[in-house]
Amino acid sequence: MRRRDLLATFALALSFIAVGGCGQGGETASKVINVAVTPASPPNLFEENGKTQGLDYDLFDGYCKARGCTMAITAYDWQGMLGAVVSKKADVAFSGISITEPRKKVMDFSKPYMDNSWNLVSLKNRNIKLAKLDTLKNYSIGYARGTAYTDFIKTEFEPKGIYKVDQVKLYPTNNEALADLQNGQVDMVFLDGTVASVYRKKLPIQDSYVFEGIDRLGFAFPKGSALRADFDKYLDELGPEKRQAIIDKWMK
Amino acid sequence: MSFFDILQILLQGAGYTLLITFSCAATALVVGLGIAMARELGGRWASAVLSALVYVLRGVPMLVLLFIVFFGLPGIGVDVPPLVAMMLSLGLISGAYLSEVFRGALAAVNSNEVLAAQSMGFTRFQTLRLIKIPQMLRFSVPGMINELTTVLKYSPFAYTVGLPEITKQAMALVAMTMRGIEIYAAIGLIYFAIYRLLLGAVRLIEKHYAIPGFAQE
Repeated sequence: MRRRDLLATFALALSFIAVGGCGQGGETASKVINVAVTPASPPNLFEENGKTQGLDYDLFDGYCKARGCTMAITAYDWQGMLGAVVSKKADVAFSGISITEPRKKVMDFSKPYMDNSWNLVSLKNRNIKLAKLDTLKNYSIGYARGTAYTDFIKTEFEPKGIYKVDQVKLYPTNNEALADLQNGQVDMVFLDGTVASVYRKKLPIQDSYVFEGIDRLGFAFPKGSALRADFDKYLDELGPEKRQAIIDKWMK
Repeated sequence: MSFFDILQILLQGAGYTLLITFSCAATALVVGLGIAMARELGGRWASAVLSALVYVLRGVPMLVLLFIVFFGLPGIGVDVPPLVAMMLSLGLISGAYLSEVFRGALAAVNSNEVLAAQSMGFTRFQTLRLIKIPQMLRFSVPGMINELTTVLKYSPFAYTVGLPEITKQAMALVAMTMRGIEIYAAIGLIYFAIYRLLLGAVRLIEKHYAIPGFAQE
């Protein structure tokens, strides 16, 4: 008899959790915007003392203040965040997301809100400085999985024989890539210029090579999103000076 | 930031880790028991279908099934909340493994006892309920501990679908502080504590169902 009680308790707990979960999912108030982020992308998006903040957050917070909406933020890992937008689980995603052609096929991007450089960083004591890319193949490169670098290497490096995608080491996030860099397991790590500016203050790293003018960041929306057009309108209303002020506040 | 501060921040995610672990473990137990019982009572066809299901579930990687459930199902109009997606992926896969543990334990029940029950006029269901399952549960404790531990260790996948569990807290914290060793050591400790908790719970159940003077202890 006791056993049956045990089973009944399990079943009850199960149904309770299922119902509770559905309740959360069904929340579709018109002014609540479901936001997907990856809080491991300083200065664009990060958490400090349990509070989500950053450059991208400020921009979207400004939009929400102007339009009278509230954000329901969910933290995913990088691929989960992109998946959430594609599957329409989230209305918008931002965490320093690069606008790329493959991504454009599955999601819509806002106007670019800032330019971003791509930095190959290495440890200061290794003193690796590349003037040209022809010696790049002598070094191992690592970066976070699901980022735009793979596409870049495939279209820009492989045809010219500079580097091959199957030579790179992939990590779950920048954290692991940088940890491996410090352990000497990988020579260089690809970082966004924004991220590199933060980590240069905390780690003994320097730029070995910087790619400028190839990458622009955008807010990602599901295909056919009406929110995107309104957000673009807000970026226009905000104007380049005020936008630059927000960027400068976080980039210093 | 001291090690204690780090632990405190990480513990904010512990509730989710526990919730995920226990709801997936509960799903696994229900599914595992269901499959094991249906295999016993159902006919040849039910048994064949369930064997095929278990075969497939044991072969599908956890993350793949999670992606299919969470990001794929909305494509055909079924919206699944994150926790339910975890239960439908981790819970189902783990249930398939548990059903095999239960199958092994059922096979270990002395066939003479079953024969005796049948000669007493027990129905198949009565035999299962009164003779086989009580012994099966006792025999399957070691396998169950293994499987439930696996559920705990797979719980970080929940971060992929947006549940802020311990690993998410750790990654967000490492991104800001770059103190990987301390932070990952701290979550190691927390996972170990939860593992001890699980172990304690199973031990309680084991003790409850133990027959004095019978077998171990």
